[in-house]
Amino acid sequence: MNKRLSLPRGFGILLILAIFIVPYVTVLITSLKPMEAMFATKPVWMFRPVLEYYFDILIQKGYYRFIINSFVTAIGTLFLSFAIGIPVAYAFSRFRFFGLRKFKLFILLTCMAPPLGIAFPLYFVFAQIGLVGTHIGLIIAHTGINLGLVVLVVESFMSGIPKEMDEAAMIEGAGALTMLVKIILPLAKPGLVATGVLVFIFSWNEFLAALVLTHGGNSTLPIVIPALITHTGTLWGQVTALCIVSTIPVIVLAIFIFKHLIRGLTFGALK
Amino acid sequence: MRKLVFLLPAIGFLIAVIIIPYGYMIKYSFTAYNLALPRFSGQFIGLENYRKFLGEPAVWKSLKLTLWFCFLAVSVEFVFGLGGAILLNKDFRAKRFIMSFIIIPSMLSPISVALIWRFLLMPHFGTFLYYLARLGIVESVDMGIFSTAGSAFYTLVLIDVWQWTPLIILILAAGLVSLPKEPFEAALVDGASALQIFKNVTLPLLKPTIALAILFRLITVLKTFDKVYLLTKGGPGSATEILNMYSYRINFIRWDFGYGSTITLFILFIAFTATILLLKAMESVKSA
Repeated sequence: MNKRLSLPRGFGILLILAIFIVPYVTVLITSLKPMEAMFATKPVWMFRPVLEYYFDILIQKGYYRFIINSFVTAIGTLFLSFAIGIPVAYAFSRFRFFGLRKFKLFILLTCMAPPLGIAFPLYFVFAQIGLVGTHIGLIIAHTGINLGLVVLVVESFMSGIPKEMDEAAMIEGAGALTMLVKIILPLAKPGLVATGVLVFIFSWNEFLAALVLTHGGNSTLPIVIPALITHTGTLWGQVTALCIVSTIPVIVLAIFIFKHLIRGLTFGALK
Repeated sequence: MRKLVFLLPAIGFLIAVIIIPYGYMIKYSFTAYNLALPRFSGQFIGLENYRKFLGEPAVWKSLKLTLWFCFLAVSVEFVFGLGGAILLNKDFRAKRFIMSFIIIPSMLSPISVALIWRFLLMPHFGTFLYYLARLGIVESVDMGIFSTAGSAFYTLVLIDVWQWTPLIILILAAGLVSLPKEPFEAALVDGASALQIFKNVTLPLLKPTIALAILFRLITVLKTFDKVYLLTKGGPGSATEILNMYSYRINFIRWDFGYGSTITLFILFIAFTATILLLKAMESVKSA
Protein backbone atom coordinates (compact mmCIF):
# COMPACT_ATOMS: atom_id res chain seq x y z
CA MET A 1 0.00 0.00 0.00
CA ASN A 2 1.27 3.40 -0.95
CA LYS A 3 1.49 5.43 2.24
CA ARG A 4 2.84 8.66 0.72
CA LEU A 5 0.56 11.39 -0.49
CA SER A 6 0.96 13.43 -3.63
CA LEU A 7 1.70 17.10 -3.02
CA PRO A 8 -1.70 18.51 -4.11
CA ARG A 9 -3.59 15.92 -2.10
CA GLY A 10 -1.46 16.47 0.98
CA PHE A 11 -1.94 20.19 0.64
CA GLY A 12 -5.71 19.77 0.21
CA ILE A 13 -5.93 17.63 3.34
CA LEU A 14 -3.96 20.18 5.34
CA LEU A 15 -6.28 22.91 4.09
CA ILE A 16 -9.36 20.99 5.22
CA LEU A 17 -7.76 20.38 8.59
CA ALA A 18 -6.95 24.09 8.90
CA ILE A 19 -10.48 25.22 7.98
CA PHE A 20 -12.01 23.04 10.66
CA ILE A 21 -9.63 23.59 13.54
CA VAL A 22 -8.18 27.11 13.12
CA PRO A 23 -11.33 28.92 14.39
CA TYR A 24 -11.37 26.76 17.50
CA VAL A 25 -7.64 27.12 18.08
CA THR A 26 -7.88 30.89 17.63
CA VAL A 27 -10.45 31.10 20.41
CA LEU A 28 -8.31 28.78 22.55
CA ILE A 29 -5.33 31.11 22.04
CA THR A 30 -7.48 34.15 22.78
CA SER A 31 -8.60 32.72 26.10
CA LEU A 32 -4.93 32.77 27.15
CA LYS A 33 -4.21 36.35 26.06
CA PRO A 34 -3.54 39.05 28.63
CA MET A 35 -6.11 41.87 28.59
CA GLU A 36 -4.10 44.36 26.51
CA ALA A 37 -3.42 41.75 23.81
CA MET A 38 -7.06 40.66 23.66
CA PHE A 39 -8.43 44.07 22.78
CA ALA A 40 -5.75 45.27 20.42
CA THR A 41 -7.32 46.52 17.17
CA LYS A 42 -4.73 44.47 15.25
CA PRO A 43 -4.66 40.83 16.36
CA VAL A 44 -1.64 40.04 18.56
CA TRP A 45 -0.09 36.60 18.22
CA MET A 46 2.94 36.93 20.49
CA PHE A 47 2.21 37.24 24.20
CA ARG A 48 2.82 35.59 27.52
CA PRO A 49 -0.14 33.25 28.08
CA VAL A 50 -2.14 33.76 31.25
CA LEU A 51 -4.69 31.51 32.94
CA GLU A 52 -6.38 34.32 34.85
CA TYR A 53 -9.70 34.17 32.94
CA TYR A 54 -10.02 30.50 33.75
CA PHE A 55 -9.37 31.25 37.41
CA ASP A 56 -11.73 34.26 37.43
CA ILE A 57 -14.72 32.54 35.87
CA LEU A 58 -14.40 29.07 37.38
CA ILE A 59 -13.16 29.76 40.91
CA GLN A 60 -13.80 33.39 41.72
CA LYS A 61 -17.24 33.59 40.11
CA GLY A 62 -17.95 30.00 41.11
CA TYR A 63 -18.95 28.79 37.63
CA TYR A 64 -17.41 25.40 38.38
CA ARG A 65 -20.83 24.51 39.79
CA PHE A 66 -22.36 24.70 36.31
CA ILE A 67 -19.75 22.18 35.20
CA ILE A 68 -21.01 19.99 38.03
CA ASN A 69 -24.62 20.57 36.88
CA SER A 70 -23.75 19.59 33.31
CA PHE A 71 -21.88 16.56 34.58
CA VAL A 72 -24.68 15.40 36.88
CA THR A 73 -27.26 15.83 34.12
CA ALA A 74 -25.16 13.99 31.53
CA ILE A 75 -24.33 11.07 33.85
CA GLY A 76 -27.95 10.86 35.02
CA THR A 77 -29.15 10.84 31.41
CA LEU A 78 -26.61 8.15 30.59
CA PHE A 79 -27.84 5.83 33.35
CA LEU A 80 -31.56 6.43 32.85
CA SER A 81 -31.44 6.07 29.08
CA PHE A 82 -29.34 2.90 29.38
CA ALA A 83 -31.66 1.39 32.00
CA ILE A 84 -34.69 1.96 29.79
CA GLY A 85 -33.10 1.62 26.36
CA ILE A 86 -30.88 -1.46 26.64
CA PRO A 87 -33.72 -3.95 27.33
CA VAL A 88 -35.55 -2.58 24.31
CA ALA A 89 -32.43 -2.85 22.14
CA TYR A 90 -32.05 -6.44 23.29
CA ALA A 91 -35.68 -7.28 22.56
CA PHE A 92 -35.40 -5.67 19.11
CA SER A 93 -32.27 -7.65 18.26
CA ARG A 94 -33.49 -11.04 19.55
CA PHE A 95 -37.27 -11.31 19.54
CA ARG A 96 -39.91 -11.16 16.88
CA PHE A 97 -43.20 -9.84 18.16
CA PHE A 98 -46.38 -8.17 17.08
CA GLY A 99 -46.03 -4.43 16.49
CA LEU A 100 -42.23 -4.47 16.43
CA ARG A 101 -41.88 -2.35 13.33
CA LYS A 102 -44.40 0.21 14.56
CA PHE A 103 -42.70 0.45 17.92
CA LYS A 104 -39.33 0.88 16.25
CA LEU A 105 -40.67 3.63 14.05
CA PHE A 106 -42.10 5.39 17.07
CA ILE A 107 -38.74 5.23 18.86
CA LEU A 108 -37.01 6.64 15.81
CA LEU A 109 -39.56 9.44 15.56
CA THR A 110 -38.89 10.49 19.14
CA CYS A 111 -35.23 11.06 18.43
CA MET A 112 -35.87 12.90 15.19
CA ALA A 113 -38.26 15.34 16.86
CA PRO A 114 -36.87 18.86 17.25
CA PRO A 115 -35.82 19.47 20.89
CA LEU A 116 -38.68 21.90 21.39
CA GLY A 117 -41.03 19.10 20.38
CA ILE A 118 -39.89 17.19 23.49
CA ALA A 119 -39.12 20.01 25.90
CA PHE A 120 -42.16 22.18 25.31
CA PRO A 121 -44.88 19.56 25.99
CA LEU A 122 -42.86 18.36 28.98
CA TYR A 123 -42.91 21.88 30.35
CA PHE A 124 -46.70 21.65 30.77
CA VAL A 125 -46.42 18.47 32.81
CA PHE A 126 -43.31 19.45 34.78
CA ALA A 127 -44.78 22.83 35.69
CA GLN A 128 -47.71 21.04 37.32
CA ILE A 129 -45.67 18.51 39.30
CA GLY A 130 -42.83 20.86 40.23
CA LEU A 131 -40.06 19.37 38.12
CA VAL A 132 -39.15 22.58 36.27
CA GLY A 133 -35.76 23.77 37.50
CA THR A 134 -34.60 20.40 38.85
CA HIS A 135 -31.82 18.09 37.73
CA ILE A 136 -34.20 15.15 37.54
CA GLY A 137 -36.57 17.05 35.22
CA LEU A 138 -33.78 17.80 32.78
CA ILE A 139 -32.45 14.26 33.03
CA ILE A 140 -35.91 12.94 32.07
CA ALA A 141 -36.09 15.33 29.11
CA HIS A 142 -32.58 14.40 27.92
CA THR A 143 -33.44 10.73 28.27
CA GLY A 144 -36.48 11.35 26.08
CA ILE A 145 -34.25 13.01 23.49
CA ASN A 146 -31.58 10.26 23.57
CA LEU A 147 -33.61 7.09 24.12
CA GLY A 148 -33.93 6.48 20.39
CA LEU A 149 -30.19 6.80 19.93
CA VAL A 150 -29.50 4.25 22.68
CA VAL A 151 -32.05 1.76 21.35
CA LEU A 152 -31.00 1.97 17.71
CA VAL A 153 -27.23 2.05 18.13
CA VAL A 154 -27.08 -0.61 20.84
CA GLU A 155 -29.40 -2.79 18.78
CA SER A 156 -27.08 -2.44 15.81
CA PHE A 157 -24.19 -3.69 17.96
CA MET A 158 -26.25 -6.50 19.55
CA SER A 159 -27.45 -7.74 16.17
CA GLY A 160 -23.80 -8.28 15.31
CA ILE A 161 -23.43 -10.83 18.13
CA PRO A 162 -23.98 -14.33 16.71
CA LYS A 163 -27.22 -16.03 17.76
CA GLU A 164 -25.30 -19.25 18.50
CA MET A 165 -24.15 -17.55 21.70
CA ASP A 166 -27.76 -17.38 22.84
CA GLU A 167 -28.51 -20.94 21.88
CA ALA A 168 -25.51 -22.27 23.78
CA ALA A 169 -26.58 -20.34 26.87
CA MET A 170 -30.20 -21.42 26.44
CA ILE A 171 -29.15 -25.10 26.49
CA GLU A 172 -27.43 -24.44 29.79
CA GLY A 173 -30.80 -23.22 31.04
CA ALA A 174 -30.21 -19.47 31.16
CA GLY A 175 -33.26 -17.20 31.05
CA ALA A 176 -33.52 -14.17 28.80
CA LEU A 177 -32.46 -11.76 31.53
CA THR A 178 -29.45 -13.84 32.63
CA MET A 179 -28.47 -14.10 28.99
CA LEU A 180 -28.62 -10.35 28.53
CA VAL A 181 -26.55 -9.61 31.62
CA LYS A 182 -24.04 -12.47 31.44
CA ILE A 183 -23.56 -12.98 27.71
CA ILE A 184 -24.82 -10.15 25.54
CA LEU A 185 -23.78 -7.08 27.55
CA PRO A 186 -20.13 -8.12 27.95
CA LEU A 187 -19.93 -8.88 24.22
CA ALA A 188 -21.59 -5.59 23.30
CA LYS A 189 -19.21 -3.60 25.52
CA PRO A 190 -17.47 -1.57 22.78
CA GLY A 191 -20.88 -0.56 21.44
CA LEU A 192 -22.12 0.33 24.91
CA VAL A 193 -19.07 2.50 25.56
CA ALA A 194 -19.49 4.31 22.23
CA THR A 195 -23.21 4.85 22.78
CA GLY A 196 -22.65 6.00 26.34
CA VAL A 197 -20.08 8.54 25.24
CA LEU A 198 -22.44 9.91 22.59
CA VAL A 199 -25.32 10.19 25.06
CA PHE A 200 -23.01 11.99 27.46
CA ILE A 201 -21.88 14.41 24.75
CA PHE A 202 -25.42 15.09 23.49
CA SER A 203 -26.71 15.76 26.99
CA TRP A 204 -23.66 17.90 27.78
CA ASN A 205 -24.23 19.95 24.60
CA GLU A 206 -28.03 20.16 24.70
CA PHE A 207 -29.42 23.66 24.86
CA LEU A 208 -33.15 24.10 24.29
CA ALA A 209 -34.55 21.65 26.82
CA ALA A 210 -32.09 22.99 29.39
CA LEU A 211 -33.11 26.55 28.54
CA VAL A 212 -36.80 25.80 29.00
CA LEU A 213 -36.60 23.39 31.93
CA THR A 214 -33.90 24.84 34.21
CA HIS A 215 -33.17 28.17 35.74
CA GLY A 216 -30.53 29.85 37.86
CA GLY A 217 -28.69 27.47 40.10
CA ASN A 218 -29.59 24.35 38.12
CA SER A 219 -28.53 25.59 34.69
CA THR A 220 -26.04 23.69 32.58
CA LEU A 221 -23.03 25.13 30.76
CA PRO A 222 -24.74 25.82 27.39
CA ILE A 223 -27.26 28.02 29.24
CA VAL A 224 -24.84 30.09 31.29
CA ILE A 225 -22.39 30.78 28.44
CA PRO A 226 -24.79 32.88 26.29
CA ALA A 227 -26.05 34.61 29.44
CA LEU A 228 -22.55 36.04 29.94
CA ILE A 229 -22.85 38.02 26.72
CA THR A 230 -24.40 41.38 27.54
CA HIS A 231 -24.87 44.63 25.73
CA THR A 232 -23.15 46.60 28.46
CA GLY A 233 -19.80 44.91 28.13
CA THR A 234 -18.94 41.27 27.74
CA LEU A 235 -15.90 39.89 29.54
CA TRP A 236 -14.71 37.99 26.51
CA GLY A 237 -11.71 36.56 28.30
CA GLN A 238 -13.95 34.78 30.76
CA VAL A 239 -16.51 33.78 28.12
CA THR A 240 -13.91 32.20 25.84
CA ALA A 241 -12.29 30.47 28.81
CA LEU A 242 -15.60 28.94 29.90
CA CYS A 243 -16.38 27.97 26.30
CA ILE A 244 -13.04 26.17 25.96
CA VAL A 245 -13.54 24.39 29.29
CA SER A 246 -16.97 23.20 28.13
CA THR A 247 -15.53 21.73 24.93
CA ILE A 248 -12.60 19.79 26.39
CA PRO A 249 -14.54 16.71 27.61
CA VAL A 250 -16.39 16.54 24.31
CA ILE A 251 -13.23 16.58 22.21
CA VAL A 252 -11.40 14.08 24.40
CA LEU A 253 -14.37 11.68 24.42
CA ALA A 254 -15.01 11.99 20.68
CA ILE A 255 -11.39 11.13 19.87
CA PHE A 256 -11.57 8.25 22.36
CA ILE A 257 -14.51 6.57 20.57
CA PHE A 258 -13.59 7.76 17.08
CA LYS A 259 -13.75 4.22 15.66
CA HIS A 260 -17.48 3.92 16.42
CA LEU A 261 -18.38 7.57 15.94
CA ILE A 262 -19.98 7.28 12.50
CA ARG A 263 -22.02 4.25 13.49
CA GLY A 264 -23.33 6.13 16.51
CA LEU A 265 -23.98 9.39 14.71
CA THR A 266 -25.97 7.66 11.95
CA PHE A 267 -28.03 5.70 14.49
CA GLY A 268 -26.41 2.43 13.54
CA ALA A 269 -27.25 2.69 9.85
CA LEU A 270 -23.62 2.92 8.75
CA LYS A 271 -20.87 0.71 10.18
CA MET B 1 -45.32 -12.71 26.72
CA ARG B 2 -42.33 -12.56 29.07
CA LYS B 3 -40.63 -10.73 26.24
CA LEU B 4 -42.85 -7.78 27.04
CA VAL B 5 -40.99 -7.30 30.32
CA PHE B 6 -38.07 -5.89 28.35
CA LEU B 7 -40.28 -3.31 26.73
CA LEU B 8 -42.35 -2.27 29.73
CA PRO B 9 -39.97 0.33 31.23
CA ALA B 10 -39.65 2.03 27.85
CA ILE B 11 -43.39 1.92 27.21
CA GLY B 12 -44.08 3.45 30.61
CA PHE B 13 -41.43 6.10 30.06
CA LEU B 14 -42.66 7.00 26.59
CA ILE B 15 -46.24 7.31 27.80
CA ALA B 16 -45.18 9.62 30.64
CA VAL B 17 -42.67 11.70 28.70
CA ILE B 18 -44.07 11.75 25.16
CA ILE B 19 -47.71 10.63 24.99
CA ILE B 20 -49.16 12.52 27.98
CA PRO B 21 -47.28 15.78 27.30
CA TYR B 22 -48.36 15.57 23.68
CA GLY B 23 -51.92 15.08 24.81
CA TYR B 24 -51.63 18.38 26.63
CA MET B 25 -50.07 20.09 23.64
CA ILE B 26 -52.75 18.88 21.25
CA LYS B 27 -55.41 19.98 23.72
CA TYR B 28 -53.85 23.44 24.11
CA SER B 29 -53.65 23.86 20.35
CA PHE B 30 -57.46 24.10 20.42
CA THR B 31 -57.55 26.68 23.21
CA ALA B 32 -56.77 30.32 23.93
CA TYR B 33 -54.04 29.90 26.50
CA ASN B 34 -51.56 32.65 27.26
CA LEU B 35 -49.52 32.82 30.46
CA ALA B 36 -48.92 36.54 29.98
CA LEU B 37 -52.60 37.35 29.41
CA PRO B 38 -54.63 35.85 32.28
CA ARG B 39 -57.94 36.28 30.47
CA PHE B 40 -56.82 33.55 28.03
CA SER B 41 -56.71 30.68 30.46
CA GLY B 42 -57.47 27.74 28.22
CA GLN B 43 -60.92 28.44 26.73
CA PHE B 44 -61.80 26.07 23.91
CA ILE B 45 -61.72 27.98 20.62
CA GLY B 46 -61.92 25.15 18.11
CA LEU B 47 -59.69 25.52 15.08
CA GLU B 48 -58.99 29.22 15.68
CA ASN B 49 -55.22 28.70 16.28
CA TYR B 50 -54.97 26.62 13.12
CA ARG B 51 -56.81 29.27 11.13
CA LYS B 52 -54.51 31.94 12.57
CA PHE B 53 -51.51 29.79 11.72
CA LEU B 54 -52.50 29.33 8.08
CA GLY B 55 -53.27 33.02 7.64
CA GLU B 56 -50.19 34.38 9.37
CA PRO B 57 -47.65 35.87 6.92
CA ALA B 58 -44.85 35.49 9.49
CA VAL B 59 -45.36 31.71 9.40
CA TRP B 60 -44.95 31.47 5.66
CA LYS B 61 -41.97 33.81 5.67
CA SER B 62 -40.40 31.73 8.42
CA LEU B 63 -41.17 28.46 6.60
CA LYS B 64 -39.60 29.77 3.41
CA LEU B 65 -36.56 30.94 5.35
CA THR B 66 -36.27 27.55 7.07
CA LEU B 67 -36.47 25.61 3.81
CA TRP B 68 -34.00 27.97 2.11
CA PHE B 69 -31.63 27.60 5.07
CA CYS B 70 -31.90 23.80 4.97
CA PHE B 71 -31.44 23.63 1.23
CA LEU B 72 -28.42 25.96 1.13
CA ALA B 73 -26.68 24.47 4.16
CA VAL B 74 -27.19 20.83 3.16
CA SER B 75 -26.19 21.29 -0.49
CA VAL B 76 -23.01 23.21 0.34
CA GLU B 77 -22.17 20.69 3.04
CA PHE B 78 -22.70 17.86 0.59
CA VAL B 79 -20.45 19.34 -2.12
CA PHE B 80 -17.64 20.17 0.32
CA GLY B 81 -18.20 16.91 2.16
CA LEU B 82 -17.86 14.83 -1.01
CA GLY B 83 -14.75 16.77 -2.04
CA GLY B 84 -13.22 16.25 1.38
CA ALA B 85 -14.10 12.57 1.46
CA ILE B 86 -12.48 12.00 -1.94
CA LEU B 87 -9.33 13.86 -0.86
CA LEU B 88 -9.14 11.68 2.21
CA ASN B 89 -9.90 8.46 0.33
CA LYS B 90 -6.32 7.27 0.42
CA ASP B 91 -4.49 5.19 2.94
CA PHE B 92 -1.85 7.24 4.72
CA ARG B 93 -0.17 7.13 8.06
CA ALA B 94 -1.77 10.03 9.96
CA LYS B 95 -5.24 9.49 8.48
CA ARG B 96 -7.08 8.55 11.66
CA PHE B 97 -5.28 11.25 13.59
CA ILE B 98 -6.27 13.91 11.04
CA MET B 99 -9.84 12.64 10.73
CA SER B 100 -10.35 12.74 14.47
CA PHE B 101 -9.39 16.42 14.44
CA ILE B 102 -11.48 17.26 11.39
CA ILE B 103 -14.61 15.96 13.16
CA ILE B 104 -14.22 18.38 16.10
CA PRO B 105 -16.68 21.07 14.87
CA SER B 106 -19.48 18.48 14.54
CA MET B 107 -18.97 17.35 18.11
CA LEU B 108 -18.96 20.81 19.69
CA SER B 109 -22.20 22.13 21.11
CA PRO B 110 -23.97 24.53 18.74
CA ILE B 111 -23.62 27.07 21.54
CA SER B 112 -19.81 26.79 21.53
CA VAL B 113 -19.80 26.98 17.75
CA ALA B 114 -21.96 30.10 17.81
CA LEU B 115 -19.81 31.65 20.49
CA ILE B 116 -16.60 30.94 18.59
CA TRP B 117 -17.94 32.70 15.51
CA ARG B 118 -19.57 35.52 17.39
CA PHE B 119 -16.21 36.23 18.96
CA LEU B 120 -14.17 35.89 15.75
CA LEU B 121 -16.56 38.15 13.79
CA MET B 122 -17.17 40.70 16.55
CA PRO B 123 -17.13 44.31 15.32
CA HIS B 124 -13.84 46.16 16.03
CA PHE B 125 -12.05 43.36 17.85
CA GLY B 126 -12.98 40.15 16.02
CA THR B 127 -9.80 38.39 14.92
CA PHE B 128 -11.28 37.01 11.69
CA LEU B 129 -13.21 40.19 10.94
CA TYR B 130 -9.89 42.05 11.03
CA TYR B 131 -8.40 39.77 8.36
CA LEU B 132 -11.62 39.78 6.31
CA ALA B 133 -11.47 43.57 6.29
CA ARG B 134 -7.78 43.49 5.34
CA LEU B 135 -8.61 41.17 2.44
CA GLY B 136 -11.44 43.49 1.40
CA ILE B 137 -14.16 40.86 1.85
CA VAL B 138 -16.00 43.08 4.34
CA GLU B 139 -15.93 46.85 4.17
CA SER B 140 -14.46 47.62 7.56
CA VAL B 141 -13.96 46.20 11.02
CA ASP B 142 -16.94 48.27 12.19
CA MET B 143 -19.32 45.99 10.34
CA GLY B 144 -21.84 44.14 12.46
CA ILE B 145 -22.12 40.94 10.44
CA PHE B 146 -25.00 39.63 12.54
CA SER B 147 -26.90 42.92 12.64
CA THR B 148 -27.08 43.27 8.85
CA ALA B 149 -30.02 41.40 7.31
CA GLY B 150 -28.30 39.80 4.30
CA SER B 151 -24.97 38.93 5.88
CA ALA B 152 -26.59 37.59 9.07
CA PHE B 153 -28.53 34.88 7.22
CA TYR B 154 -25.72 33.74 4.95
CA THR B 155 -23.19 33.83 7.77
CA LEU B 156 -25.50 31.55 9.76
CA VAL B 157 -25.55 29.18 6.79
CA LEU B 158 -21.75 29.26 6.55
CA ILE B 159 -21.40 28.58 10.27
CA ASP B 160 -23.73 25.60 9.88
CA VAL B 161 -21.56 24.44 6.97
CA TRP B 162 -18.46 24.78 9.14
CA GLN B 163 -20.03 22.73 11.88
CA TRP B 164 -21.54 19.90 9.84
CA THR B 165 -19.36 19.39 6.75
CA PRO B 166 -16.93 17.29 8.84
CA LEU B 167 -19.69 14.81 9.62
CA ILE B 168 -20.56 14.50 5.92
CA ILE B 169 -16.86 14.02 5.10
CA LEU B 170 -16.67 11.20 7.64
CA ILE B 171 -19.87 9.49 6.50
CA LEU B 172 -18.95 9.64 2.82
CA ALA B 173 -15.33 8.64 3.51
CA ALA B 174 -16.66 5.57 5.35
CA GLY B 175 -18.89 4.87 2.34
CA LEU B 176 -16.00 5.19 -0.11
CA VAL B 177 -13.78 2.81 1.86
CA SER B 178 -16.48 0.13 1.87
CA LEU B 179 -17.04 0.18 -1.92
CA PRO B 180 -16.09 -3.04 -3.77
CA LYS B 181 -12.74 -2.90 -5.62
CA GLU B 182 -13.67 -4.90 -8.76
CA PRO B 183 -15.74 -2.28 -10.63
CA PHE B 184 -12.86 0.20 -10.32
CA GLU B 185 -10.31 -2.32 -11.59
CA ALA B 186 -12.59 -3.22 -14.51
CA ALA B 187 -13.04 0.44 -15.41
CA LEU B 188 -9.26 0.99 -15.30
CA VAL B 189 -8.72 -1.99 -17.58
CA ASP B 190 -11.25 -0.50 -19.99
CA GLY B 191 -9.17 2.69 -19.99
CA ALA B 192 -11.70 5.00 -18.35
CA SER B 193 -10.51 8.43 -17.26
CA ALA B 194 -10.60 9.51 -13.61
CA LEU B 195 -13.61 11.72 -14.27
CA GLN B 196 -15.47 8.91 -16.06
CA ILE B 197 -14.76 6.54 -13.19
CA PHE B 198 -16.04 9.11 -10.71
CA LYS B 199 -19.22 9.76 -12.68
CA ASN B 200 -20.06 6.23 -13.81
CA VAL B 201 -18.65 4.04 -11.05
CA THR B 202 -18.07 5.93 -7.80
CA LEU B 203 -21.23 8.03 -7.68
CA PRO B 204 -23.72 5.25 -8.52
CA LEU B 205 -22.11 2.87 -6.02
CA LEU B 206 -22.03 5.57 -3.35
CA LYS B 207 -25.64 6.57 -3.89
CA PRO B 208 -27.18 4.85 -0.85
CA THR B 209 -24.57 6.41 1.46
CA ILE B 210 -25.12 9.81 -0.14
CA ALA B 211 -28.88 9.53 0.36
CA LEU B 212 -28.34 8.57 3.95
CA ALA B 213 -25.94 11.45 4.62
CA ILE B 214 -28.20 14.05 3.01
CA LEU B 215 -31.42 12.92 4.65
CA PHE B 216 -29.69 12.58 7.97
CA ARG B 217 -28.46 16.16 7.69
CA LEU B 218 -31.89 17.36 6.55
CA ILE B 219 -33.44 16.05 9.73
CA THR B 220 -30.74 17.48 11.99
CA VAL B 221 -30.73 20.83 10.20
CA LEU B 222 -34.45 21.07 10.98
CA LYS B 223 -33.46 21.08 14.65
CA THR B 224 -31.27 24.18 14.23
CA PHE B 225 -32.02 26.61 17.01
CA ASP B 226 -29.12 27.20 19.39
CA LYS B 227 -26.86 28.99 16.93
CA VAL B 228 -29.62 31.33 15.79
CA TYR B 229 -30.59 31.99 19.40
CA LEU B 230 -27.07 33.03 20.36
CA LEU B 231 -26.08 34.88 17.20
CA THR B 232 -29.15 36.79 16.01
CA LYS B 233 -32.20 35.83 18.11
CA GLY B 234 -34.01 35.68 14.76
CA GLY B 235 -33.07 39.23 13.80
CA PRO B 236 -32.34 41.76 12.54
CA GLY B 237 -36.09 42.20 12.26
CA SER B 238 -37.14 38.68 11.32
CA ALA B 239 -34.36 38.14 8.77
CA THR B 240 -33.14 34.91 10.40
CA GLU B 241 -36.30 33.80 12.20
CA ILE B 242 -36.44 30.15 11.23
CA LEU B 243 -39.44 28.10 12.41
CA ASN B 244 -37.85 26.86 15.64
CA MET B 245 -37.00 30.44 16.60
CA TYR B 246 -40.52 31.58 15.74
CA SER B 247 -41.99 28.79 17.82
CA TYR B 248 -39.69 29.68 20.72
CA ARG B 249 -40.66 33.36 20.50
CA ILE B 250 -44.38 32.64 20.51
CA ASN B 251 -44.15 30.10 23.35
CA PHE B 252 -41.53 31.51 25.68
CA ILE B 253 -41.33 35.23 24.91
CA ARG B 254 -45.02 35.88 24.22
CA TRP B 255 -46.08 32.93 26.42
CA ASP B 256 -48.86 32.11 23.94
CA PHE B 257 -49.08 28.38 24.59
CA GLY B 258 -52.27 27.92 22.58
CA TYR B 259 -50.99 29.23 19.27
CA GLY B 260 -47.48 28.04 20.16
CA SER B 261 -48.70 24.45 20.45
CA THR B 262 -50.10 24.63 16.94
CA ILE B 263 -46.74 25.78 15.56
CA THR B 264 -44.80 23.13 17.45
CA LEU B 265 -47.13 20.43 16.09
CA PHE B 266 -46.52 21.72 12.59
CA ILE B 267 -42.71 21.58 13.00
CA LEU B 268 -43.08 18.04 14.26
CA PHE B 269 -45.11 17.12 11.25
CA ILE B 270 -42.29 18.29 8.95
CA ALA B 271 -39.66 16.43 11.00
CA PHE B 272 -41.70 13.21 10.93
CA THR B 273 -42.21 13.35 7.19
CA ALA B 274 -38.45 13.73 6.75
CA THR B 275 -37.85 10.82 9.15
CA ILE B 276 -40.07 8.46 7.19
CA LEU B 277 -38.01 9.31 4.12
CA LEU B 278 -34.80 8.67 6.06
CA LEU B 279 -36.09 5.29 7.11
CA LYS B 280 -36.70 4.31 3.50
CA ALA B 281 -33.15 5.39 2.66
CA MET B 282 -31.74 3.37 5.57
CA GLU B 283 -33.52 0.28 4.35
CA SER B 284 -32.11 0.71 0.87
CA VAL B 285 -28.61 1.08 2.39
CA LYS B 286 -29.05 -2.15 4.31
CA SER B 287 -30.34 -4.06 1.31
CA ALA B 288 -27.63 -2.66 -0.98
